[in-house]
Amino acid sequence: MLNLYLFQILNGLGLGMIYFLIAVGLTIIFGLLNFVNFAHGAFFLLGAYICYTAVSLTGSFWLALLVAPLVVAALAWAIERLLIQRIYHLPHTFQILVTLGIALIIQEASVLIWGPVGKSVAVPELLRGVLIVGDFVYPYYRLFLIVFSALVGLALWLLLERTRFGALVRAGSESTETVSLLGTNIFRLFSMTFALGVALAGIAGVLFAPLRGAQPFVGPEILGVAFVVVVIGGMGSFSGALVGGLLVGVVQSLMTTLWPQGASLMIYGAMAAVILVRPYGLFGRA
Amino acid sequence: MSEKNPLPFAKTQSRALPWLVVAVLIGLPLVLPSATLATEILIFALAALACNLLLGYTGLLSFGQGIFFGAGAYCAALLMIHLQLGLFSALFGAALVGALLALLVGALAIRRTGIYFVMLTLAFSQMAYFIAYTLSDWTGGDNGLLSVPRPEIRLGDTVLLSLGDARYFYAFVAVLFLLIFIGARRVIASPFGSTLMAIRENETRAAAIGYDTRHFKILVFMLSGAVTGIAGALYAMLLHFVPLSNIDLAMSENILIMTIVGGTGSLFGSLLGAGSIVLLGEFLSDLWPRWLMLLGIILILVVVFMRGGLWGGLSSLFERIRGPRKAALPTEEKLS
Amino acid sequence: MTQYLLQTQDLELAYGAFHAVNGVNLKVEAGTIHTIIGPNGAGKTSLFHCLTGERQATAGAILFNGKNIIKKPAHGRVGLGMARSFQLTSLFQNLSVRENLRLAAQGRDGLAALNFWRHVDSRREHLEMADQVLERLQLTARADTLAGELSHGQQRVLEVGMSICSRPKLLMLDEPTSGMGIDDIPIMTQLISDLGRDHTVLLIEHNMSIVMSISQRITVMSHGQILVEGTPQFVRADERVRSAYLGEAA
Repeated sequence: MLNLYLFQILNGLGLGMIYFLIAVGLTIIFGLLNFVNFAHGAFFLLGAYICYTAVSLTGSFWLALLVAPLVVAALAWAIERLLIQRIYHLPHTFQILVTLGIALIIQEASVLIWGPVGKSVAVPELLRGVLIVGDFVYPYYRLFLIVFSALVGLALWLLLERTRFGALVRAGSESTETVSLLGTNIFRLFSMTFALGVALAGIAGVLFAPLRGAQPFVGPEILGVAFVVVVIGGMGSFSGALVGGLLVGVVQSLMTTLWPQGASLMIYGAMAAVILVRPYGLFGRA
Repeated sequence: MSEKNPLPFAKTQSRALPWLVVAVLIGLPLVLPSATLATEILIFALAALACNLLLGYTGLLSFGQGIFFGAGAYCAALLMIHLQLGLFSALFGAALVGALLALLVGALAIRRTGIYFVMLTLAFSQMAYFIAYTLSDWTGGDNGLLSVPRPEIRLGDTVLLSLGDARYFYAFVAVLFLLIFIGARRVIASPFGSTLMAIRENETRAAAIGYDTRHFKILVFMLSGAVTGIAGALYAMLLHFVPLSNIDLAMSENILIMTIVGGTGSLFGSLLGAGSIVLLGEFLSDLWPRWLMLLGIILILVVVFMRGGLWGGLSSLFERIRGPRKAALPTEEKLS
Repeated sequence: MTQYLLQTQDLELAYGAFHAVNGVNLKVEAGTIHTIIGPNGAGKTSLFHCLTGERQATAGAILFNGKNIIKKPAHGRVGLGMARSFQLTSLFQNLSVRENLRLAAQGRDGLAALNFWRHVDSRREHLEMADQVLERLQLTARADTLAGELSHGQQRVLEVGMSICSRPKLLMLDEPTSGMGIDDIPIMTQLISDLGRDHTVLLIEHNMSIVMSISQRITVMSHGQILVEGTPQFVRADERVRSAYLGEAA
């Protein structure tokens, strides 16, 4: 009994870390660019698909883990320069609409390239098998998921807090005008930040692939959860994305044993409650 | 909405517009291969019109229209199936349910503005979907409600007209659309409507000159919910079926897309938007299963090149043909 | 009974430990043009926000015609006879000048605005008020121009004009000449003096020549409190004001 809960909690942590990666990308983009990226979920699924292709071609999951986010980032960078830069000044309505359009295009293109049925990705050789502690059994891959995501999170944190680039991103989130007046090429900063945010979603997609494969129509669901996490944690907040992600992941996992439909109802209800009671979320700036 | 609002807005109303609508209503079933398709266009045009009242006229971007559409469909279907209610009772019930849900959603959502308002409507939309999914005893869950009747028009016990024939049903829906269209135009031209536009333009200023903006927002939400509910009910009668997808987020998104592609500058845009998206889906989905990709491209093109939507494009074309307006009166520019 | 149209009692607006408005007892007599001046950070704007309802005061009372209106939201104060203009021009940019004024006239008439069936033009009195104000502002020729297309000076004048449309007893004008060019300022000064004949006007101003020429009473604020209050001559002569503020200007 306890084992079941422990199992679900660990699952929840793994799921939560994936949610964290997606949400922190979304929140970085929103924090600096004041841009609502409705295509975020689409980049997640793209990451999963490119992982599938990379694994099919090279047989190496590890290579895919490196390559897929880079490809997704490059694509995002191109989209940002060609299209997104034109619409920063527009109200959120249009940003949402354009990114919805991008999401649709990516989704349909994925079906064109890889077919309408999902593709499965095998768990890498190294991580197959389970950990056995007493009578508690847990897959190695899921443990890896938690650890690796935490490492990515740490690397991201170091990037944001300890590098010049990170300082510019954080400063720019306060005031883009000041940052550009101080001599930074603000457009290049925007492109790189957008690419970074999306790359995180891509990494999440790769990590998720061995669990549920690459699916073409998961974009909206992932996007929805990302929004919930970002709202609960606080828009623009790194720690908010982490705490929010873990909370949502664990709650969702536990609820699947108790009341599956209730899980979604609860998390969206929580999102609405947070916006109404404390719109800046747990860690957002007032 | 932000202070500088590039979303096109309606100016003075053209007297010719209702006649243009009548012309379209008459022409539609003649031009299209089926009356059912024409009816579908009108139903979504109603939903887009209701959405435009919120978006184009009040400046509220709501992802919750699917809630009212789905609820209206379920309500009408249940009233007809379980209580054997007739056509107008079912429609009235759907409008009432739509209005009441809009009251609930609106009253909560307007407590926040900007992106938080949008997120709230999104969250409510998702919650409505999962509630509908869970209450499968009432809604049929994933399977939806089947065998939804299409009642006849009756006066007391006499049947005036059976709507079983697709063309007769189209005619009924067309008349309903025209009435609602004219009604909506009246609302826009009223003091209430002018206040909505003031709120869209500058909510702080509107409050400063004496308007309790919450009341207006809630009222327009309710109006929008009622009309969307009616549209949902008609859809249920059209399909004889209420799928779960009526109430999902994608439905809300579709309605928004139709509203914006059609053009938010005029109620007529709803016809243009619904028409183009429905027809696009209808004709392309047979040719190319991935037609949604085209929709994605269209969305991007509209935002980048034609923010006024189809209506905006047509009216600027019209203006260019008509020639420039008379020059502004010369004034003594003391204040310059 | 009360001689003061507007009066505050120990009014406070606190942001945490910082008191932007720190115990202010303002007294505005009916029929006067009363100006609030003070250096930046003195609390004029915060006081103004409390009076207009833009911010909820944290302590004290605001008496308008003897009634404490401190809990009344901004839109509710219009019906009582208070009206305001904004320092940063806040108009309905995409609507015509006449429509801006008509909306302002309609705003006083709360219930009429909820009418969703009759045409806007059926309430003739709102249109008439708009036309009257257009005359008074000398903007009749620009009635159909979009507010956003007016010159800055004309926009500032329209700003003030909108506040008259609700037939208020008290006009609260926030730096009405803000950003106006040197040629346009006399027009605004003339307008305010003219308005002072049939309204009570409370304004915040920085331009000392205007303040001295049109004010009947001046309140000087500093550090969230009233430093000095009196006639222009009295204030001008006061040592504290001179050293703190008037030294450079006028």
